[in-house]
Amino acid sequence: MQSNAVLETKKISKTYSGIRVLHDIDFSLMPGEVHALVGENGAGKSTLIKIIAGVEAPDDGGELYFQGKRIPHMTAAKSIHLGISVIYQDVSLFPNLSIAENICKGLYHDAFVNWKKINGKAKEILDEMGVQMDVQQKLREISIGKRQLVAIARAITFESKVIVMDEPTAALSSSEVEMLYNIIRTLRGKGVAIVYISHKLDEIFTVADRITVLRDGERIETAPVSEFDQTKLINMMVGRELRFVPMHNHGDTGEVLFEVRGLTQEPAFRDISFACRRGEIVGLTGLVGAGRSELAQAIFGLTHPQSGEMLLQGAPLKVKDANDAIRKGVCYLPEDRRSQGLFQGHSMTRNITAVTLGKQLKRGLINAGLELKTAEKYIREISIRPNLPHINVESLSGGNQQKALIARWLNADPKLLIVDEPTSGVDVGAKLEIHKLLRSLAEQGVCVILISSDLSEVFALSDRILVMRQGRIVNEVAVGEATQEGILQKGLLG
Amino acid sequence: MKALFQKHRNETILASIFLVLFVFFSFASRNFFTLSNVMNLFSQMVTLAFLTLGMAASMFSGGMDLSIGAVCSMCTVLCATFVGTMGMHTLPALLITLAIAIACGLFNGFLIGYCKINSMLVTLGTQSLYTGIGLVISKGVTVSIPLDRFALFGRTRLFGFLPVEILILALGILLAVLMFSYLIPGRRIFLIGANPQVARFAGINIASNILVTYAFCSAYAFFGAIVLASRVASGRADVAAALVLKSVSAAVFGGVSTLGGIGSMAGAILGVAVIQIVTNGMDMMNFSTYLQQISIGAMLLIVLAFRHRKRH
Repeated sequence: MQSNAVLETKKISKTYSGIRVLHDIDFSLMPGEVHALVGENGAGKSTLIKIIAGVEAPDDGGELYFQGKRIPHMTAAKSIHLGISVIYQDVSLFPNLSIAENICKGLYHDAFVNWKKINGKAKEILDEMGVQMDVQQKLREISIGKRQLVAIARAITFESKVIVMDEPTAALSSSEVEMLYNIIRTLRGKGVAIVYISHKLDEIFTVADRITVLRDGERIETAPVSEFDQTKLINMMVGRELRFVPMHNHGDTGEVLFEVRGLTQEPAFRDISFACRRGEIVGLTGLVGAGRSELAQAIFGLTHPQSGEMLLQGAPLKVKDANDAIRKGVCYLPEDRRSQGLFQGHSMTRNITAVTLGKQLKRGLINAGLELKTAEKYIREISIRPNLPHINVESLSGGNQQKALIARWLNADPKLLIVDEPTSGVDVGAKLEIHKLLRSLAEQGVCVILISSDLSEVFALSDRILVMRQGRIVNEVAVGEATQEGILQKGLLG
Repeated sequence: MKALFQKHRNETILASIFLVLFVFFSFASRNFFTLSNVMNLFSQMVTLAFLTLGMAASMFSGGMDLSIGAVCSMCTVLCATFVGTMGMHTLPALLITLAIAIACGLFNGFLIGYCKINSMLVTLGTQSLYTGIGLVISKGVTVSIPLDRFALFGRTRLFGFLPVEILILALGILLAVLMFSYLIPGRRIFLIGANPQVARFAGINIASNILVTYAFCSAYAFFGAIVLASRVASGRADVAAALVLKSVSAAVFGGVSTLGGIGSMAGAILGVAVIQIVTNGMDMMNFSTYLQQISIGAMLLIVLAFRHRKRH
């Protein structure tokens, strides 16, 4: 590796309660380059930034270098001192202070506040950036986009050598975006290194010199921007090659088990109609924000759609709330294990029995023996490891946490099981096991709706694919007819 | 057996501390290990114990009921007024008071569960409200109960040695353990406390379970009140005010997490017992109450620091 890199990571890994979110990342940043960091949600971009900024400590074994010098224990204070500025999405500035104070906070150490100096300095920096602002205005009075510019001005004031911009254009108007590009070019000319994170690919092709692609916590590629085109970049981000063994239904599917007609819940989704047959796995894909999870939560009774109807086994299905849905055989494995699935601090057993407490009763009392038996049954049947029913669920690996949550729903005897990103943050082996499990459920007559952003997963597992975009189902294809490019074009790119 | 200790590690440690202190004070003070003092030790802790059980319940659910002291005080005023001033029979007086206490709890639970207002803010407000009601009813003075009435719950000893309030407390502990270890609503309250969002996704009705939680808190404040009113043969609108923070520290000391979802009723009661034995034991050794405060504070901090270190 070149020794003139301003910042360099070697074999950086990060594990959160058993889940590895970064795996041996080598990343280098040259002075005066704009280095774009791209990847899907959960690819590990934010975690990498946090490690560079000293907010999170990497796992043992990873090394971090700044201007060729090893930094054994990076802390937030140290990284600021070295000249690393991170401009986060939710800008971390002081809303009740003036623009000038925000820009110069901590710069001067006079005994008394020298307003002239502060305001003058702030004005000078902003002028240099080509931005017109009244520096005495309070920060909370200006737009979010302008605040981003203030944050950048602050980074310039402190002569940062590395500036990380996390989705800097998310709240900017198009003229402000142009302004940002100019500022970035000026900074690059001065030798400042910029890490640029964005989901907007055209932006990346406009400003970046090099691109690093992350996927599932691994670095897929680092190369100059000229070696990429839009399609290649997307393919690298989503993982084009079929990574999974296809598992489709070979026999005939049964009668229609679940049907949705004209379901509408503004603004999340509208006029959703589809049917699923017994024994079928229906893939539901689309970009984050297309309304997939909202649709699932409405079916599960967590929210109430404005119009439309649902049918289960031919009879109208009305769900009052989630508890009612569970009783009627409609179950939902939520998207975010940490905030929606796991009862942290509780045992695996309690997590498994949480929705089926009624089955754990003996003479009206919750019976620890019955609970244990339930947990042991699923530990055996779907091989949850380790075989310790009383273990704190947080100390399980991601895949086993997910299996425990699936066990929770299996015990509720579902007729319809909606699984939302069932394999996110799960290692490849466990992914395969979860796929097999879902397929065998379908074979037992359960109707499975698979929500996933991972196209290769949708292709491997689904018998039919529904594509959602902006709250509508825009495409429905049998799996044999579909191609990933077709889905990408119809659903993701629009 | 070993597995049992592992699972109830916290309770085992607290029970051991209690036993060690018990033996220590028995040797250190001649007056400690006597039948009358041991009975006294337990009967002194009854009201605080009931409030701590209630406090623990609210903490399991991820909240904190700061109004239990006010509810308890108000109940002593109500009992004293019904029995003392109005000359009502004991049973109807108790039933009416209990109904009012539960209504107070339901009101708390309604504001917290259905209106989704932070539990501390709600109960900080209702604490003042219930204290005020007590003050209005008592006209701000101590309402006394004739010495020949209402003696059963705090001034009666069965077989000449066993205070009735100890039996009441034993029953209260039993019910609390039953509720929070063996009944579905109790388990659901724990799960809500662990993470309300996750509970929602598991089909648990948060509002109705919160309602149950705060009704439970107030009912336990009522039990604490009847023992207290009987013991001192009177009611006063601020008599239990100082017990609120004590009940928080006892519960926390007993391993109940302020963050919700973690702890046990057995732990909470052992927390009270350890604090009580230190107080009583040092009394017997003629230490000043100032020194008692310092010792209890130090003990609390040491145990909490130890536990905190273990978790990290």
